[in-house]
Amino acid sequence: MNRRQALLAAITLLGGTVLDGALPVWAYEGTRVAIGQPGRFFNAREMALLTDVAEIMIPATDTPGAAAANVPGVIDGLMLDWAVPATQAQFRQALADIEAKAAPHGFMARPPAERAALLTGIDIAAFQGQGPAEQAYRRLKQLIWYAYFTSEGADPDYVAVPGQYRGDLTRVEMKQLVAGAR
Amino acid sequence: MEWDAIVVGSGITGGWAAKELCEKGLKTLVIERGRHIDHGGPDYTDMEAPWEVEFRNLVPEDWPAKGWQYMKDKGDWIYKMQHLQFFADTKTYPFSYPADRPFMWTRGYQLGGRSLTWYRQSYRWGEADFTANLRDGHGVDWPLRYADLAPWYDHVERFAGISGSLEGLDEVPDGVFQPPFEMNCAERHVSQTLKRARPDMHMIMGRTANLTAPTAEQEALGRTRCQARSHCSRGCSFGAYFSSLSATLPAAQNTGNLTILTDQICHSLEHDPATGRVTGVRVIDANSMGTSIHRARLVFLCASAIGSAHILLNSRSDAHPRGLANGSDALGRYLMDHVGGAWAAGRVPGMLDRYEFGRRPNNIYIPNVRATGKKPGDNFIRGFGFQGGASRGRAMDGAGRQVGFGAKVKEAATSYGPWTIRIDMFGEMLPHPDNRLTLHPTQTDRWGIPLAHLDCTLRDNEKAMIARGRDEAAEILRAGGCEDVTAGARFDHPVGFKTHEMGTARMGRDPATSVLNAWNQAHEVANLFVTDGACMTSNGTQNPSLTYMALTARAANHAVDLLREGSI
Repeated sequence: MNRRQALLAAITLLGGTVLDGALPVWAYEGTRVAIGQPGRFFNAREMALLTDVAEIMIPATDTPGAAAANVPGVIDGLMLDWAVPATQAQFRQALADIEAKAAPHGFMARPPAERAALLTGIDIAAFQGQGPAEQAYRRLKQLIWYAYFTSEGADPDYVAVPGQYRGDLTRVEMKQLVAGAR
Repeated sequence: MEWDAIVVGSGITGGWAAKELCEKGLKTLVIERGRHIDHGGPDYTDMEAPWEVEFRNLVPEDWPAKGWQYMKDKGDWIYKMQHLQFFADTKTYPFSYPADRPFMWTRGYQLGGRSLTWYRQSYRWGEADFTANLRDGHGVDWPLRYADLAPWYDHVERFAGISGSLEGLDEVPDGVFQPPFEMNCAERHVSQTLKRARPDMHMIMGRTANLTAPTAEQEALGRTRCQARSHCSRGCSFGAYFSSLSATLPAAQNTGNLTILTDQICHSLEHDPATGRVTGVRVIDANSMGTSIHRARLVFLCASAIGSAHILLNSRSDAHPRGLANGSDALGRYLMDHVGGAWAAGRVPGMLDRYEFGRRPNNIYIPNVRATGKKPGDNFIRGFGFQGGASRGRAMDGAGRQVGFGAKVKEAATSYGPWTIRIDMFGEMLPHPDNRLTLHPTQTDRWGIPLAHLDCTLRDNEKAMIARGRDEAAEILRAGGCEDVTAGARFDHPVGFKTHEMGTARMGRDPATSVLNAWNQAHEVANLFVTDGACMTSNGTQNPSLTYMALTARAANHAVDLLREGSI
């Protein structure tokens, strides 16, 4: 149990409720998103947030998560090589909006479970509204998933050179052919 | 020097003309307006994994404004970085059309032309396709019949390598086939169910120019069996699909009679009014802008339907004021494309324990459903068929367009859904004199050549066919046992959407109403042959390339005979 979880437990035991920003900043030490290197387009804070959001969306399972698949790096590159200025601004704003959702300390200062819960709320709202913020979030999400599924290891059944086409196989036969062609 | 023959264009027909002429001993010059490309060279992107394709296969957002809007309009399936190097942009290569009647002209300006990116579906025409104009009076009669072309279909199929099944259908006659690709279980189920419910309709395996059992001749050219990657449009380093680069040009090269010049834009043909013959080809170097002329005894125009007619229109002279070989005024007219826009999709129930392996570069085919004539309620003439396929879809990145995320959503994204099937219509368009290519009166390209101006539109017959095609597509899928069937129709696809342009220098029996005779020879210019889509008198429902190949090989052999006789 970390310091913040201990504090939350203590408050709950006392019958209290936790409100946004109710705890001092020091309570979040050790659980916040770590700031690393800047990207080619995004600054260090944006890269850290993008990495966190992508990994919450696409965690590591028996296939790599978004971070291990370098989804943030791919999107950072696409901002320079693919996006027009309006898209660049839109993606920046989408990240800023996520960070701003957890005022006053920001999304990145929250512990993992809270960040996942916050992002879930943002996600649900984004598919209900049609405003610019909702659109920006949906585009960001779409590109995260696109970058992921064009990444190595994302598709467990991807084979570069199948060698043949078969159209009526059991699952076991199909998986054997996949394994044999890799 | 004077060449025995000049071939303008190096795509499917240019490659065939070069091969046949070279093999008959003619010193042949191929002139290609695009850049040189090596088979299997750096322009081929087929060895790139999805994570290696530039920009993850996304076309930069500012490229539509740089001449790629038409490709975006064509659809997500083709608007990809993986093969844009094989297509021409409209900024560098403009053409014009009336503002309210857009035309979609999809070009490939490189050695090999569109043979690198064609969809490879290869069907013979049936006898009824060659008599369609005669029967209903639209367009002129074809000056040849199926029997004239059948041996040449054999000839080109044997060399190109067409995989397909023997079906005994008059509307798509059987040919010299390599083993067919496999139908998946859902397609087989729909095909068999349809056969019982609607014996008048046939769902067969597509016939495609992908090798499934290469011959010794094909292997000697370095071609190998299809690896089921479905990367064809990126170029195939295995040489498994037929292209000029994998097949015809290497064969021509092997004779020692072939010379290729790239980056040479054909401006016009030089014509001697005294002899009535073409004497040379005027070209502009695409880079240096320098002009030159190449002389030959024989000229084959294989620059595409619009490209070849454009060259002839631009070859105006006092003797031929409306364009070369255009006494009939048919040149540039009767432009056709296949009619699309109608589709249906449905779910094939069951078989949830069955799976596919490999990416089949081929589809299923429903040949002309009007092969036996009109059906009750038809308010149009001619026919249409369908192409499509079944698969078990996976959400993959589509999961990012839905609410929700996390480990469960991620896992569901790679799991296989039910079998679904979709079919798309390919309909016959009537030859209409006002569907027309002309030279733009004032605007020119950067080489000073008048722009091609394309004024074409779908008319009542095509629109009625699209509406019926949508309904019939749904009926076919329901009769085939599909559930949750949906269907749709678009009436606003521009002409050219199917990339099957034909008819701009049509063949015919009468020099007063056609440009070419039964041998693809210009009525008015004996040593000039046009063998690409321009020659087509009607447009059938089948993908046309195989017919262009057969016509080209036939014309080339005939031209050599005439040359040997001394009659041209």
